[in-house]
Amino acid sequence: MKVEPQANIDAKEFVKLTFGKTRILLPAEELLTIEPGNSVSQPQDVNDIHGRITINHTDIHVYAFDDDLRLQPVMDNQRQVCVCLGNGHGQIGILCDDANAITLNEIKLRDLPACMHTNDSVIFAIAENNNNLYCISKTADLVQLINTPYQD
Amino acid sequence: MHETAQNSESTCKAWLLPVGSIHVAIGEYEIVHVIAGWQRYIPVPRSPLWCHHVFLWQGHLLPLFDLELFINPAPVNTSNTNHDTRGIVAVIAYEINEGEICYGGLKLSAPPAIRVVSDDEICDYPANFSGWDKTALSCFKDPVAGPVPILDIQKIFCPG
Repeated sequence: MKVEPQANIDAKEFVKLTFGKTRILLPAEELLTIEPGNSVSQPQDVNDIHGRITINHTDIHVYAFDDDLRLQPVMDNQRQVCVCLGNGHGQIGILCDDANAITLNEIKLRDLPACMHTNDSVIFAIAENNNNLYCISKTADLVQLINTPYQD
Repeated sequence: MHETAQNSESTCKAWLLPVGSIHVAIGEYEIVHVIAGWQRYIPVPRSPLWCHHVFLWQGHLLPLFDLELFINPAPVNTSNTNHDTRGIVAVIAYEINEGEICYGGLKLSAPPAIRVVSDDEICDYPANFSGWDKTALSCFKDPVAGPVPILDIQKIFCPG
């Protein structure tokens, strides 16, 4: 485990997603739009895990996660906000409790400690800013979670 | 004189650490701080149940290791492990490559106590966990706590 800062960044734009007490930062350039959760269409088939939202005439699949980023059925999910994300390879919506674009100054990026890595890790760095800590991830890593069963 | 020299070679001090229903031990100089009281622990999703939070300590980012969950992770949901901000945490220092010092947090259920351990107290690991030989260096018998594994800190915080 390295304890020294991996890198310092003067300022960086992020979108912050909140799932209960879990806070995740994604690159701001991957943010398409933030919509109210009630604009997400519920799955028509009870077996469908995802809902849908239409952004710029495009249907986007919407997924829900619990606080540990385990995939949950969108049906009857209580999250209030839908964050629509795109990384050039596709678009998805993610339900969360809160989301907002933020600018953080003087971030220290640190490696995730070695004992915290798992086969399905999606957090590889922790950002420190003004004594606050944030998990850093990317849309592509969250998409990977949708395709990967949760491993206990 | 001769007896005193022999005695000093066969004993050392260790910290006795209460961890849930068991006790473990580490070397006298491996604890650098004990945090008792409020501390902000940040959950890291998809990390192991037994090491699910990080926190800041003196400018360092530390993992919080719950040895009780490591030994017996089965019945626990991550929501039960989140944000116990009032516990006792030992900040542990250990050395990796060429003198580089690293730190980690170990969750305790009571304050640590110093203990003199002698070579003639060596015993087998307790039967409650089959992985002690991979996470401990040795084991001694405490008159009150019973068999106490001496943790190999590097293997706890730098697995693989």
